[in-house]
Amino acid sequence: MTPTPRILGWVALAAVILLALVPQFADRYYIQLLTRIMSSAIFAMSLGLLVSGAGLVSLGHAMFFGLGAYLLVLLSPAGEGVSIWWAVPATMGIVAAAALVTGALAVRTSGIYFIMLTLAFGEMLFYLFHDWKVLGGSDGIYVDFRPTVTAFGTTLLSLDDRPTLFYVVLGLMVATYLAIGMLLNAPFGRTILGIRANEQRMEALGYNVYAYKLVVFAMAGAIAGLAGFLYATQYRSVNPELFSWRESGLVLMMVILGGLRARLGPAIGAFALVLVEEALQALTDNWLIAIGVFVILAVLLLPNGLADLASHRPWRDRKAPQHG
Amino acid sequence: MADAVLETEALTKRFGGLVAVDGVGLRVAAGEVHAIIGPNGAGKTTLLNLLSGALPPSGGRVRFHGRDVTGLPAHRLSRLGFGRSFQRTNIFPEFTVHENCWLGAQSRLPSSMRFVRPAKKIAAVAARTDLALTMVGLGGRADAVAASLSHGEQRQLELGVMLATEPTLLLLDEPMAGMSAAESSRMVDLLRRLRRDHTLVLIEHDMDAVFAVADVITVMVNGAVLASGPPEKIRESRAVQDAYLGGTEAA
Repeated sequence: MTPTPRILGWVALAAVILLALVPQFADRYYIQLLTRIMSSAIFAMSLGLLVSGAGLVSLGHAMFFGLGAYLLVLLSPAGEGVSIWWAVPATMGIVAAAALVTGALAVRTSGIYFIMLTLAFGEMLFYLFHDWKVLGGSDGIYVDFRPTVTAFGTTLLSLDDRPTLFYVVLGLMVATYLAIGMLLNAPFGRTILGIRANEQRMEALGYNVYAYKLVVFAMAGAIAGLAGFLYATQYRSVNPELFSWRESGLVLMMVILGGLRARLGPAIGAFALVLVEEALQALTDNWLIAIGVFVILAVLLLPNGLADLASHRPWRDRKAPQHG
Repeated sequence: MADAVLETEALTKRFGGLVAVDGVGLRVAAGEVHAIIGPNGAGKTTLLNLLSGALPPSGGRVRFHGRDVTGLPAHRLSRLGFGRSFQRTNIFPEFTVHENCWLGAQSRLPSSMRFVRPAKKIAAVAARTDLALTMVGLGGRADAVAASLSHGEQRQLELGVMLATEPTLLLLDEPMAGMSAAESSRMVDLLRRLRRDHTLVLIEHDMDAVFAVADVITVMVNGAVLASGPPEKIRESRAVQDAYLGGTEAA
């Protein structure tokens, strides 16, 4: 995962400024759509940390997103909103703990076995929430009140206000991006990037590969949990489909589509996939097929992901060695 | 007699019915260059994998400075001072030369579970990295991507990554594999410099190099030790001649 090329950084900054202006002129529909995309981008960035950062391709990452979403509902008291100041840390902590438990088994394996184990854990949670009536069963649950943001008894922000929620999610998306960047530049990041490149050598150099993989798995889980929490805050409802392997596959598609080699890749993939989906839905009834064509073309023409479009001209230097 | 840095006792590794390493007893004294030679398939690399913790032994003991380290994983042994280099170059091909050695150097931090401060600001790691680069003569190539290096340079980097961990015992698997004559002689010079403050265990097929640097040579055949002793004795040994050296010497 290369540091973001300068031009990509400018593109990202321009995109954030543009996004910040959206609630000033866009209607309700687009504010909601973009809020959802931004929580998907956080979700995709968490998987990007796992896939591009540590080389762990998970097909069960939606379980942490789903857990985060359900935790908002489960932590909310009856009749009022839960305070965001403790609900967010609690959610991320609980999801990280769940990731530690599943990861303790999963990260012992690699490659196709890791994919199978994460898939199996994800499906187990899907059926747990699907079949257990206490947790709402197959219909899911609603939460009556969004979380509150208060200080000393006064309400700072109302998340019921759509533009406010939009800005909160935008802020958290930017914060997540910066936090992952910080992590990857720190000794921990160098270590996991080394593990992705050559696990056996890292072990011989004195790194406890298992421990580092487990920690990055927990971190990625916690961030996915935050994304799920934000999703549930927006829609005030959760259902077991959030855990399904389809969701895990979709977010993996965002990461790959955006590009595994750029830190911005996952966010770009999230925006691209959902916006292209929106556009195609408006154009044709056969949009699902059209989406398939779009993804196939993108993968064939831009093997390093959409992030390559901005960073350089892939058709020119496809033969150049790919630098990590 | 110098103290033993590394000692093994009846060290054995079985893969199913195959005995790859068969009751090997080694004694490597401090500051010694101990070469292990033998035909292909003699179990030399497997032995090195047992010594470095890459594989758990099926039986026997390994002692490091008298302490029983049998079965410890590679990352623990590395922290005790074991350095391992590989026969097939085992570097980080996508990273620069500097980043490769950095990973070795950073591994000596008490922990790399550090999440905030940029790695490049840690001066002690940077210093260790530069030292390792200088030792293997790659100081001028620091920013080159490892995959773009020549074979000989990659072999140097292979050692540089290991040396950045500041090991005291070096386990080297064919450091001269595939090198030209000129590159080999530079490597022999490097090994001579390293022996001043390291203990070396070395697998090597280049007999000129082995006889030039080794204090003790152990000959392995079919997983077991055939003979062990100073180079002169090994060169004269009838059993070694028959089993191995004859062919090589004649060639």
